[in-house]
Amino acid sequence: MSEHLSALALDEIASGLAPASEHVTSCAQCAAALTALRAQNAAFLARPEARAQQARLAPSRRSMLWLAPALAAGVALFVFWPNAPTERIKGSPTVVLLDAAGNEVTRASEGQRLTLAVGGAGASSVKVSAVDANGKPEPLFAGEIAPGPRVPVMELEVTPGDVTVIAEFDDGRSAQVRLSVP
Amino acid sequence: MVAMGPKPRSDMNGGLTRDEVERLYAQFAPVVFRRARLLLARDADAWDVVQEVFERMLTNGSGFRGEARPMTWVYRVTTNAALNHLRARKVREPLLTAVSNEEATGPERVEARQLLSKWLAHLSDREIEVASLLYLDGLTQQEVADVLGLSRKTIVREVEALRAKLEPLGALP
Repeated sequence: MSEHLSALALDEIASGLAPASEHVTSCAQCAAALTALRAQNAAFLARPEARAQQARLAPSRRSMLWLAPALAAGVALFVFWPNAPTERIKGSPTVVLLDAAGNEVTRASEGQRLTLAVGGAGASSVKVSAVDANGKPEPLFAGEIAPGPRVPVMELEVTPGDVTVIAEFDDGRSAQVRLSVP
Repeated sequence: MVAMGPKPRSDMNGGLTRDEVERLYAQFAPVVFRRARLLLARDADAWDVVQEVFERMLTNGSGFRGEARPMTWVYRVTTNAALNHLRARKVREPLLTAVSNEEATGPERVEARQLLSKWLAHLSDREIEVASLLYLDGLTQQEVADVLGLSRKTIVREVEALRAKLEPLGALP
């Protein structure tokens, strides 16, 4: 008999992400654990809190929740601040590097995978390059970007040497982040 | 720095339908809640973690959607979110133990709380992540490596160091 399945493997099977392995059919302990896990999952999803949370996360509801304060803010700006500069409303463009957990990083290890994300603040396209310590630029990305404060555009693998990642947006503004690779 | 190749924009943005969100919730929310509940021992905090993980999944989901094993992303982000709650609790409620025994039932859960309490006092964030995946979730070292996005070799080395640190503290299960 091989080792019992881990919590991760059982969660994957119970969630329908992986087929039940042969081990499950031949191991009473894992079969029982899987049955219990499925029952727990079903019980969780039947809880009123879960149904309410699911409804809050669903797109139609999310957009409505977002729309109400946005409309209110829009009206307030129109009435009280009609000449507000566009820059103030849109904010500044950004470029960030995110680790696997989605956290912004300025230090990384060789071989680590990062996500390059940008916030156009009104710009619709961007050119991103990495400049090494010798000032040599390496193009990373060029293209249109979706609206949003931190829109992922590509995956990167970290190689040795510090770099400065520079994003130049089509409206003339730019942003940069320095990545230190000890 | 090496580009891994740009992903198509449609793969990066939200834009999920209601059905898709419901499917993701049914697949992953029970897992997130169970893990968060184990680490935090409070229903209210565990619900907060579910909300945080799904907000991240739906608004910044490139990491999630790019995973060969999406459950590893869920484990990793849930663990991080739960540990952040524990740290915040330590600051907010300094007179209480960070690892609450509130609603702790069953010998396994009580043991998990006791272990976690010792880990919080003696280990770094990364070590707590590794320890919780390995000892509380029963993941293999390869799975821990997958969840944390590290090489197996690195994890083997870290687990050896972890054992050497935990054994004298009596903080191994």
